[in-house]
Amino acid sequence: MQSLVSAILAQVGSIVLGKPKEIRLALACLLAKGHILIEDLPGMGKTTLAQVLAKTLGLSYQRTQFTSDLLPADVIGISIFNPENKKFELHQGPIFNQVVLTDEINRASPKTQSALLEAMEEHQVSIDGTTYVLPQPFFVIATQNPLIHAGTYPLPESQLDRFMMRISLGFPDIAAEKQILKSESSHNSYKKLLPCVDTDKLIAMQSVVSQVTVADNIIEYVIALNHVSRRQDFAGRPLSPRAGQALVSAAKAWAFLEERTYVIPEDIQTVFSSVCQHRLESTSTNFGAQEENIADYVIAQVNVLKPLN
Amino acid sequence: MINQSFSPERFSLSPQNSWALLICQCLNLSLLINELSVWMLAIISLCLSGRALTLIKPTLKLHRVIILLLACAGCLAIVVTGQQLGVLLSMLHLLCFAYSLKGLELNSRKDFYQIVLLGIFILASVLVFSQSLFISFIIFCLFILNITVLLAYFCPTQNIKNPLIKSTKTVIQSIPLAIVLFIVFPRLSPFWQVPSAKSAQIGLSESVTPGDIANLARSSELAFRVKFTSDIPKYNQLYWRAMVMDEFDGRTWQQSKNSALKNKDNSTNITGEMTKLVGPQTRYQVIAEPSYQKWLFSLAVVDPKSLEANQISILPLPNYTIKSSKAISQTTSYQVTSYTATMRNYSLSDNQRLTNLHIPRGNNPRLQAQGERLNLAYPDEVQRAQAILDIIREQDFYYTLTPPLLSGHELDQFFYQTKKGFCVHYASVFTFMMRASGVPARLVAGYLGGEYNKQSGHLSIYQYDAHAWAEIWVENKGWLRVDPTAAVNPERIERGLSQELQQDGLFNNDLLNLHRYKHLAWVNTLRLQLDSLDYQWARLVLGYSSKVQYDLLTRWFGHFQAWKIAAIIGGALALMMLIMWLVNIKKSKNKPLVKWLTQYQQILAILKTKGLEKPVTMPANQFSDLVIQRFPSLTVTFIAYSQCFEALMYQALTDEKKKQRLSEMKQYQKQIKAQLKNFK
Repeated sequence: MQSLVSAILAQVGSIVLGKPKEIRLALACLLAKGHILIEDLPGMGKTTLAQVLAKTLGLSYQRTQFTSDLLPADVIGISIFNPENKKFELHQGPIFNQVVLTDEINRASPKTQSALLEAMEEHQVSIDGTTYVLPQPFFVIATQNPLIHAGTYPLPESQLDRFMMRISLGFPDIAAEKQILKSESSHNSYKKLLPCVDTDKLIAMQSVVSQVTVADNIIEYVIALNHVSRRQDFAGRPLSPRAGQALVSAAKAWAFLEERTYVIPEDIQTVFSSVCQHRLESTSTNFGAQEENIADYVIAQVNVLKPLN
Repeated sequence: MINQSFSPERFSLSPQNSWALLICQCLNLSLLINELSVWMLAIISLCLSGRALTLIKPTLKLHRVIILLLACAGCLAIVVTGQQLGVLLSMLHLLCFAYSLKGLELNSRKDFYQIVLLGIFILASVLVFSQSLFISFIIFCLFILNITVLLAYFCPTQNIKNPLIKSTKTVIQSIPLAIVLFIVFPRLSPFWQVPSAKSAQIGLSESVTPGDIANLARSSELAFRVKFTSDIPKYNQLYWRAMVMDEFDGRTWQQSKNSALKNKDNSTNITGEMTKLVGPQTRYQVIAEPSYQKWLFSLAVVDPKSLEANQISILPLPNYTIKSSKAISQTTSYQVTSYTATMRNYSLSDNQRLTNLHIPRGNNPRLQAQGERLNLAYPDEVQRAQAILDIIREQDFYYTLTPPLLSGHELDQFFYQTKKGFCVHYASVFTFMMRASGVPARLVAGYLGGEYNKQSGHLSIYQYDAHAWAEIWVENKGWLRVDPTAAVNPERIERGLSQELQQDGLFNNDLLNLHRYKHLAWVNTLRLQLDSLDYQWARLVLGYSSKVQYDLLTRWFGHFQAWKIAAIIGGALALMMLIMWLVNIKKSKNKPLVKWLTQYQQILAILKTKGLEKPVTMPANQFSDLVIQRFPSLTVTFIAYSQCFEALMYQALTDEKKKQRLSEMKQYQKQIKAQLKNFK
């Protein structure tokens, strides 16, 4: 199973160059059954990462470009009357795929955003009074531009909370950028990729991840981190128990990727910024120097060996 | 940089804790409500409600000027009324005022500590005013609450219940040690005298003008308790003498100067040839409540030798009362032996005779005239007294606690017109007439009777048992007690005052006063049980003087020596620590996590002395990299050690594997320690 993991990582890494940590985080998120939000400037390879992941994991996927005039029916599907057999027939939307790639999610209207986000939470959609269960495994990989960009509808806090992780890719280093510019357009390269795993294997990996041991000490560590954010004088928003759950699941997946059967504090510390940064920031302010540090600040408040002291 | 931008040191109290502190403040202060003056209560409630306002509306900030004004107002008021209040009460006012004002200025952790400490100090100061079991219990509970508020500050996100449980546990754990210290620790006399707390005296007053005792009779406060070690005399023989009033100015009876003075010659009179102590002995212990007066209670005639064994110095006076050398400002107990059948003073000095015959000229002329007529009609003094009692019995006299006001020749007016009064009126009239008829007579004030508590076998004498009676001096018989109240209201003498009081509904309006419900059997039983409990408290705890302590310790540990005391205290401390340690060992067995964690921390401590400190937020694995960089020779052992620790901390291991890992870890630990010794 670990060979599969390294194969996946190698394949994704061959297309998305110079970003091994971000790739691992994205994979960890998917193994922990979480949805992922990739946030960065245009042209940084967000969409490429999403597409390569879907392709490599061998899942059915469809990409939807979110725009301001996109309607909920465009995402989840619609019943259309068929005059031949005089019946309504369901035309499934892109959401009926295992991997749903929503590009630039913050450019769609809040109505459409919520339609998608409901499906993310419930793993099912209702059309014309009928409930349809979505395929398993079900991932939403969303990308968005930073909020300061024009023409965006920022996701409200409650919906940001649905994403287990938010990662940003950042600029590549010189070597990687050189290689990107030298190679042929990534547009074509990922189409040739073959899947490394199938659905069954992926589900098996997920169940192994869920069996990773989490010691009481680790749970206490997570609680202590949460409590730091709940102090009265804390600058950011407090972390919810769901944030704690997400943190534990993500840390389990990270431990799995690190070939361990138990979680250690490093796992928590590694995933903490990705899992909690977007839950800690208050949306009222834009990116500031303080909030870049807010996750680090929380980590710096807690004693690892005796968290609750 | 991070620390600066988030400033974790800023002081803040969660709303829950702020309210807890405020409620705690109110409760602490409420114990002193009777001692504080009205204006101080007003200022305090202003301060507290100001604090409450800021809690309800967090945006609201009291302006500095308002706080300054409040501070000035309080200080000014204390300065102005300081003279009136006396030192202790002014200090208490200042304390309470500062305590409530400080709540408006909670800016740092230091302020918070101060306010909690002040609260505990206020609780302690309540004990100056009352030391009863009930108050002590309430103070104990409030003490726990104060500690809880302090604890809650350190866990602001928790429900207040947790610190409450914790502080209760802590305080209860400390009780055994407190008891040991209470019993064993030397009872030093106070370094300074607490000034008399109450300017207003309690109970009887130094002088009696008809009308005073009616007020007293309504109070159900405890005056003193008596425990007889011999047979208890009959109710109608329990005339507790407090003071003798032999000087009459036409309106008011008071003690004449020479009888109040302790005159050595006179005091030998009691034991000398004149007064021989005869008849049955009555031995008893009196536990007097604070009266802020010097006189004490006893039955006549007291054996002066029996007073010598007491803790406080008590002087017998020639008029058969006893007096303490200091005012009774706290619950005090003393032993007395009385010989009730002893005759008092065969002879009377000329001086004394003059004092006890004196009536102002022209005062109450009708009574004077009648007295002179009686002198002619009955040559025998005892018969003369009996004649007066007959008049009172036969005529239309009426015993009441709410007599009409008297003016002018008050006794004349009472005797011939209103004919309504209580013990003081009858005793005054009787004494006056006896003097007018030429018999030395005087008024005695004190208490009559007492309530017998079957459970602990003691008598409780309440303020409503206050009584006044008369004494006449007869040749060859000495001073004879005559109680004219018996002529008008025999029941008062035989059984006490309470029944009437219930009919009159005179116990103020205090619904909680259990004396009010004496007719309900279960309430009465409850009241007596509480009384008996309170008696034991007064006897065992409040009455635990240095003499009692000395006797007790001598009985337990033989000859009294300082090192023994030190050894007992040290032993008790060691025992407590041992118990705590054992309890903790048991707890840590349930939490095996501590074992390897403590071991790991030992290594951390050693590394710290070598100049390598582990940042608390750094996980063990990362730290091992740091160690290897610094001490390359440790590479192998420390990585293995770290792995063992990590596995024990975070891996799901069976107990066997845990033991195995732990022993491995111990071995590595030894190696690391040995290797580290080489580094400097």
